[in-house]
Amino acid sequence: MIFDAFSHLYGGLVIAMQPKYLLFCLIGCFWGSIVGVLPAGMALLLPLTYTLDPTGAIIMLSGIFYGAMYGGSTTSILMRIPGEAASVVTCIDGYEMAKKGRAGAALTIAALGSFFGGVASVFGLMLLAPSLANVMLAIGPAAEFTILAASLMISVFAATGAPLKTISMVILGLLLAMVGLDPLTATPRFTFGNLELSDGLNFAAMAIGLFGISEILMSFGQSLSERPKAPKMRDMVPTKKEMKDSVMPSVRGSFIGFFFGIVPGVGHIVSTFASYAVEKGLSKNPEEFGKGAVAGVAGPETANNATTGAAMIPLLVLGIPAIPVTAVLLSALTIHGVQPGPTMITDHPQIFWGLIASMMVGNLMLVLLNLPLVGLFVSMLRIPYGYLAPIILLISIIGVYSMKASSFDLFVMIAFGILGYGLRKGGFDIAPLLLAFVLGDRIEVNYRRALTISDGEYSIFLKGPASQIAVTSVIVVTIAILGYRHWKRRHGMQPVL
Amino acid sequence: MSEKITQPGWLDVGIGAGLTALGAYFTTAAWRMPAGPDPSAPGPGVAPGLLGLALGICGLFLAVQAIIAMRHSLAEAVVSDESTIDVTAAMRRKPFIAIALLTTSAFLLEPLGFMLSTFLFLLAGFIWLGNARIYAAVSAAAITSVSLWLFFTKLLGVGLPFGRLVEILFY
Repeated sequence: MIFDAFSHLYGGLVIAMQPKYLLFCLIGCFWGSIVGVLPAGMALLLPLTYTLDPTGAIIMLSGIFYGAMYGGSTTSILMRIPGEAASVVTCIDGYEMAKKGRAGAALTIAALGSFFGGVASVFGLMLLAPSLANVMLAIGPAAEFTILAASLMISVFAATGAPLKTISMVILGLLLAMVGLDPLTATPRFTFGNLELSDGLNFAAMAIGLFGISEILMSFGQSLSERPKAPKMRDMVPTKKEMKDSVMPSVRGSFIGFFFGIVPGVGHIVSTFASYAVEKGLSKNPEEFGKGAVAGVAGPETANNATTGAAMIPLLVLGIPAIPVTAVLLSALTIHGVQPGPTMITDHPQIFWGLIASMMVGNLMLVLLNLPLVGLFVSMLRIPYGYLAPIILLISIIGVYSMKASSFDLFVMIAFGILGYGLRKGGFDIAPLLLAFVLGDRIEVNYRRALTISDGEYSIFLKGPASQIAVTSVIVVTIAILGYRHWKRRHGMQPVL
Repeated sequence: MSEKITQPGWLDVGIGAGLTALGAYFTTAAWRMPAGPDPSAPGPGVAPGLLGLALGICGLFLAVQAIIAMRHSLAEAVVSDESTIDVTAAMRRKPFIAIALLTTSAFLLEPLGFMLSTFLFLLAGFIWLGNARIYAAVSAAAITSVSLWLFFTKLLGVGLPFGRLVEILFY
């Protein structure tokens, strides 16, 4: 089986090394590094990939995904401002290293750790995905419904907002997914007689509005307090001790990141905090943490990128996006006629293995790209946000309009931008809304099919090993999260989950 | 002028009420859809009807929870992190300016065409969002709109509208 995986990987490398796919990967990684530095989103580039073939589109979008994880560490280390949420932990010791004049070394350690975590998780994905896909092929609509519902429930428990608010977001997402023609009877639902709504709400317009536009609107209230300085190239080389101190945290970070990446809704933030806690717990000098400990940068950054590869497993094997970014990837694949799920490996091997190989190539590209270009990324941070925001908004307009040449979609984008802004101001976590929207269609179809098969017998949803494993997982994860929160509060600490 | 945002509790009440209204709409609209012949074959209205009801209840709870918290002077318990940030009046206006610009641009994109509507959008954006001087804003808007036009149409092959105004004037 392992030999099979490596032979498929070789085939994937042949695809990924084609000049056009290398270019798409490079564009994705570069854009990802920028959006990891600046507040924007992967969704901005989604509409522009519609003109590409499916392999090129998914390679480019995945490049943005893991590129953003690399890019996010730059502002964390240089300015103590996380480029994306998963880089929050890197701020603690990364910025302290920078204050001691070791910013370059911290950036290199973060980049190498990210590379190590990224590649390790891709190997995990490569070895685990085909076996899991074979198991998933045997399940029916009832088990599929239970698994999808279970993953949504886990995302509710793992969300950062208040439970009632998160449940509201999930329900709203499911309802919005029902706008359009009913998939089984073609009855129009909630379309107001509008033909453009018959196909349902445009995912890209909704995602760009909810995440891109609302992020920009939120950012107007914030300003950069200091002007970052790029470290010199000669300062980028870590010392022998720094390298030695980062090896084991990177190894442990890979395992931690991979484990948390598979669990829907948990993802990057938790894996980085878990890695930090583990490193501090295992360290002989825990008092160094918070004062520039190398392990405090290497562990979380490795875990962060290991989560990226692992998050692809539920997406590619089950068709379940564990986090909003993979929901965008799911949408991109669906638009190109590729349905992620257990049959993807056999139906579209060139896309699956091409993607895996490109992730390895992309991780290497990012190490080579990010360290020499750190000066460029820093200079982008010096552009006043008031100038940058209109340009990002304009790119959103172009992206959404170019899909169907429809002004209606622009209004959908603006409406969801306002909705996202209001909800975020009110302390709602909007990620579960998008996940529920993406899964809503399949949840409803499988629910109705399963009930038709069972003649209205609801116990069908709990029959079979797949359903039972899904239900058990929800119970275990829920108990684990509640236990963790209780333990943290009892010790006077703020839980991150 | 600097001021604190003092009444975030009302935002929660508003969102709760909005979710209740949405839930009520989905439930009533789903009520009119075919429910299916029997429970073994649920029709297109069943799932949205039940979910609409659930959303309405959640919204109601959120609104009531926020009102109770406010009445007990516990508004801070439902305050989001952003609300405690010191925000200037100018900064508070910017999100609304951006929304107004986006909406205007969506209306003008097809009649005026990409180039002209983009130029106006960027000009207004640079002045009102970036506090740029007029000459700098005009030149930056012109250069950016032409560059974006060339990048998207020539390099990426994206179709962008010429505009009805251009068609009337030049064709």
